Amino acid sequence: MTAPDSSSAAIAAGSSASALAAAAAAARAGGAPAPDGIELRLSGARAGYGVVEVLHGLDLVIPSGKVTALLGVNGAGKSTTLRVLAGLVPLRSGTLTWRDQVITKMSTVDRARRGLLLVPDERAVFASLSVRDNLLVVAEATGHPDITPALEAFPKLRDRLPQRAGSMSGGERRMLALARALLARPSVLMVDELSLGLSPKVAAELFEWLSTVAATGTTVILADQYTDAALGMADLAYVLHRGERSFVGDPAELAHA
Amino acid sequence: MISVDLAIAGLAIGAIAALSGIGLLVTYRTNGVLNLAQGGIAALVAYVYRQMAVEWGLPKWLSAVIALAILSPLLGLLLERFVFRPLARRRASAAESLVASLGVLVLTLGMCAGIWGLGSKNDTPPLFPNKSVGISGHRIGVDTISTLVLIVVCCVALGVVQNRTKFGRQMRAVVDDRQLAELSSVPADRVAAVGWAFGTTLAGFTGVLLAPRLQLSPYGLSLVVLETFAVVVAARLASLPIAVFAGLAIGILQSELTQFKVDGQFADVYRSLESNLFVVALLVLLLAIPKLRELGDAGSAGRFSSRGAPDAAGTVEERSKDLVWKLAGFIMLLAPLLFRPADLRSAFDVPAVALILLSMVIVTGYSGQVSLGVAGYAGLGALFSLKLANGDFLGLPRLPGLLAILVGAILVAPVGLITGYPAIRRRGLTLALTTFAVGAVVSQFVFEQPKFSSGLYVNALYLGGWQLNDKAFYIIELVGLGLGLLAVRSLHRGRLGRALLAVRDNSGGAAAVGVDVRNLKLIAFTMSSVVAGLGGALLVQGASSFSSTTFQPIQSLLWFTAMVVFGADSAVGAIIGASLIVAIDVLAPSGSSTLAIGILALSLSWLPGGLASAVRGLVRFVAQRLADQFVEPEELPRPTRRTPVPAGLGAAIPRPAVPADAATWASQQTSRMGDADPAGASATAPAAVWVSGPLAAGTTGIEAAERVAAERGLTLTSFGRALLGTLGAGATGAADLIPAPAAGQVTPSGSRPAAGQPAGSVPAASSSNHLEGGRR
Amino acid sequence: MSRAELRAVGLVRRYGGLTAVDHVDMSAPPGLITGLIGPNGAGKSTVFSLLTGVEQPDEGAVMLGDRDITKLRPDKRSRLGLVQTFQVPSLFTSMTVRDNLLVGVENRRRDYAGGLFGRGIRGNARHDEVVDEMLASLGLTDVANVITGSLPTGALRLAECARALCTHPDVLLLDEPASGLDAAETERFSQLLRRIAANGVAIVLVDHDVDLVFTVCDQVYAMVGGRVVAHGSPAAVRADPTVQSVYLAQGTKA
Repeated sequence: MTAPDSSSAAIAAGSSASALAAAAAAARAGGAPAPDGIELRLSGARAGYGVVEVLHGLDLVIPSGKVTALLGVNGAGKSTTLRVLAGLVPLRSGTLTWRDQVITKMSTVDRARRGLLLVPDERAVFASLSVRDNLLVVAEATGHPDITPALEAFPKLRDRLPQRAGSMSGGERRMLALARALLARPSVLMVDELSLGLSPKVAAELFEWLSTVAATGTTVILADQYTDAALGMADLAYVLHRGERSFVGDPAELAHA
Repeated sequence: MISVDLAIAGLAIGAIAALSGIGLLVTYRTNGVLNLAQGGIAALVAYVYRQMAVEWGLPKWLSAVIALAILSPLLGLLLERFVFRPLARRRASAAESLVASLGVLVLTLGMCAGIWGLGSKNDTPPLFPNKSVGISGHRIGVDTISTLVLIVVCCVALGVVQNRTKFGRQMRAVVDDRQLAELSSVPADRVAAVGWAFGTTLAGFTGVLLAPRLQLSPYGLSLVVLETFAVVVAARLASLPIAVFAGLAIGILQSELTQFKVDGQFADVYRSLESNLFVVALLVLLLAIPKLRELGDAGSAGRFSSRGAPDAAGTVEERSKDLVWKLAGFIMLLAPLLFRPADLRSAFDVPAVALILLSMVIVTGYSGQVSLGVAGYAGLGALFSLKLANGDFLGLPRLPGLLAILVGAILVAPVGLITGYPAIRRRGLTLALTTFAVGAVVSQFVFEQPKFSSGLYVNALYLGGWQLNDKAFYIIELVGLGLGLLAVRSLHRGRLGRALLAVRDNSGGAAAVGVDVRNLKLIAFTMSSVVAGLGGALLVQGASSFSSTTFQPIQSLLWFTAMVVFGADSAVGAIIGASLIVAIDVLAPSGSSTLAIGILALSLSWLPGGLASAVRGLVRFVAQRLADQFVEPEELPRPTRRTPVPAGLGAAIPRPAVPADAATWASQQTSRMGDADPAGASATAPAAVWVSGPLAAGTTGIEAAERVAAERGLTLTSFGRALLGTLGAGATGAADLIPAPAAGQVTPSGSRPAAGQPAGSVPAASSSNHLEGGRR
Repeated sequence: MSRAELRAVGLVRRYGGLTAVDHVDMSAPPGLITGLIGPNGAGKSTVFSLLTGVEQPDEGAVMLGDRDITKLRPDKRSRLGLVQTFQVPSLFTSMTVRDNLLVGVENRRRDYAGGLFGRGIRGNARHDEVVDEMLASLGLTDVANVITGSLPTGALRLAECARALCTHPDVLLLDEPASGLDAAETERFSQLLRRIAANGVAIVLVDHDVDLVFTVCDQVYAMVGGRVVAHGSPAAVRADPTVQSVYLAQGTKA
């Protein structure tokens, strides 16, 4: 295992953050916010696995160009919600609208191609592929086989290009996962449990990076339990409880509660 | 010592094995499915090729093109689209994929047997000209050269594509993590489909190349292809070059063996080795390599529940309540006693096959281990009992027939114990292949040996001086089945049953609380082998002859698939399955039961839990309806206890303000068996509200089902609701007669009914809130 | 009745060229809660696996009381009184909470063959009593007959803990027991741990939640790069400069 400071120091602050913001802005597909300010609208969503229903008619509205936090304990349905939005879990009833298009039936691949991107909580990198191939797969699939934006955002990855992604530390893997997401030029970036399994220090740095992405106007959806950090950067917060919405509103209200 | 000519002869078969191995590996690496159906597909393509070239008289090249360039890849694409893509979509377990590929095997074998019969054909025209070229004095066949060229082309092409191209990178990404690949915009389905098409094309080549060399028969050809799995095992499911090398090496070695002569006792065994080196290599490699590089969750213990996951039927005790299901099995078993003599005789197989299926329920259903070698144990049981009855078993005295059957079965136990040892450290695919190899080795080196299996006479049975007639023998069989059921019962009740279930559910967790996982697995394997041995002995007694084909290795796969289809953890399912298999075989053309099992197995792709669980659900539903009408509400199945007030972890842990409780806990910890302070216990237990009474008084079908679901902490899906709605409308009119409860009446205090849901579903929505309700 | 102490002596574990655990000494005395913290990759999970027996050390020994248990499998260790819980609650999901606990009580013996001949089918009345008491004591009575597969995380953690306690352990090893719990649940869980320790059980706790570790533990080991860099009371470890620099930097910001 690598020494902790090597992974945490990887994200240079300040100067490269602004370079990153520029890169992200340049990379972004949509650019302009949705006309009515609503990016995604999930209504009456029922979904689950096998015989178990996890979401029991959930309604969500995700504002365009803002950071939305989905909060709740394990099993509340946060991950399932993100997986529904990404198309990994089919809706049993309800509709999903992206801007003005109903995408309930759209496949995961098509959604990813159009910039609706999920960074899952675990196994977010191809462990058996090299770092370079991890980046290239995404870059090629989206038609821009150039990985330099990712390396500019996370200079640390430059030294790791030939290394197998599976042999990196947890923090580095998260970083690679975010770098890959960046290459896909997301217009909506969904991140599941950014802080899971990371030391608070590394997590804090990744949150900081995410806020620079959000600053470029990318719609960001965060699912997290690490509420302080998530609430700190969110414009809107949902609290899920057992597959239903138990709070929606200003994150500040939650912070005080 | 190495003879070049023999090496060249061996190269021919080795090259075919290598080709098969490449196909298997590519499919496995792109899909995570080890295609056990490879043999069935090879046989099907070979049959179609022969049909066109021989029966229809098409030109050979045209037949080859249609069979290999069109049919083979098409089969792969169809399999991917309709069987394995749905499985991948819902992230099915490796166990489910295994069953699905077995289902495809059984289905293709059933098709071959149904269309072309089980007999062998020896007129398949060779694909390549039957010529040879001379190279420095040695003759080498054109077909061998062509196969080798094909291998080289495949390897080079794969190597280039994989490492140099965008598609190769996508392939590796899909191999690594399919869902993540999709999230990265990689068209994973396309990659998977290409992997399948490639694999089945090579399977087709394998079949067409093998058919002229062997006799073309469904079971025979597919067994040979299954033996080539030695090659992929040598490659540890990963390395293409090693697979090719292993294929060629084993082929050459096998051929070289023929130049030596072994005399004496082992002459026959040695002769078998010459033609079965691949099987031996498969077993030896699997024993030497305890851990293959399996993909995905293949390493986790398989769950073969017929009841979907998480297991809805729940506790051991609750399982035994499936009365209607049991009744059906009971009737099926007793019915043959009323049959005409000829029909009764055909029913002899039912209890015997039921025992064999039951033996796998023990290993697979209860302890979560895959076992694909059951035919070996069954055959040994049959062999031992006949030898005992004939008085030539290891110097033991001649035993009366009935006793011989019993003792013969028990003598299988040591074999089960020994073969159970590899199972301790092996899981998933590795275990599946190991057990299959054991069965295959036993078949080739025992059942196929005249030394062991010739001159076995099946004598009539006597009981107290009376020769048993057909009816009496059938009753004896039922007694044997009863014994088997008792054994199964002891294995899934009480402490032992709980421990087995614990190992199946979570072996790490089981070990963590002291469950001796190793011993339990051995007990399960040993018990299973005895029950299978009993089944085998009865099977042979009923058929009045021992035939090695009854216990050929492929039969294990058929039986295993049948067992899973009819409910892996259901003893009654084994009985019903056996009845149906035997009935179909008697009534319909040969191969029909195989076909039926194959189709049912594939339905697992769409119906998690399989057809059996759908049938079971229907049965349970009807039973529920009957119960609703005839039984007082209080006697309905276990009601759910509901905590009215928030009982989160918060309420769950007693407040420190209750000192009595801490004292209870302390005294319990120090004296362990000390009396609890009842005040402490009750102080912490919130009053429970029993809601089933009033709710049960008025139920429609959907509400009944929803209540059942709620009791298990589940919520009915809209699909389930729609399905039950349709069924319910036709199933009864009585629902209208029972007044529906007022919405407020059934609502437990503290939980609010969700808007827009029927009153009956309120418990469903709140039932899983036991411990988390308070945090809103 | 005095209980055994768990000790790790000079544990070393290498993966290829990488030394994940480098001469780690630890002790978990009865009645105390011992915390193990460290950033990702520091080796604390490996130490945990070595203690539970899931992995074997390349050097060093694990001692339970006077007994060397280095070579023993997890189930054997468990029968000797060293019981673990998992990061992902590892209940038997097709069984009820009660049956889960029964498995915990029943497997200190291992004469399973008895079950084949009908013994133990009816179950042992004393076992039922132990389970009833445990259920009542942890407030799980109401969910005793619920299939664990359908329980929420908080209840799962509690049930797993109850199951471990049913084996009457000397040492309880907890792997991230607070993950998935909210703040209030974590608080109550740490009260539970205090109660358990008060009964003379040694508890070893590995968790990312530094607040939990520092509030509930009696002594803390901090690991970095496979070595123990600090050991002592929570206050002492928190004040340690190495720990400050690598692990707690975020504390100043939040």
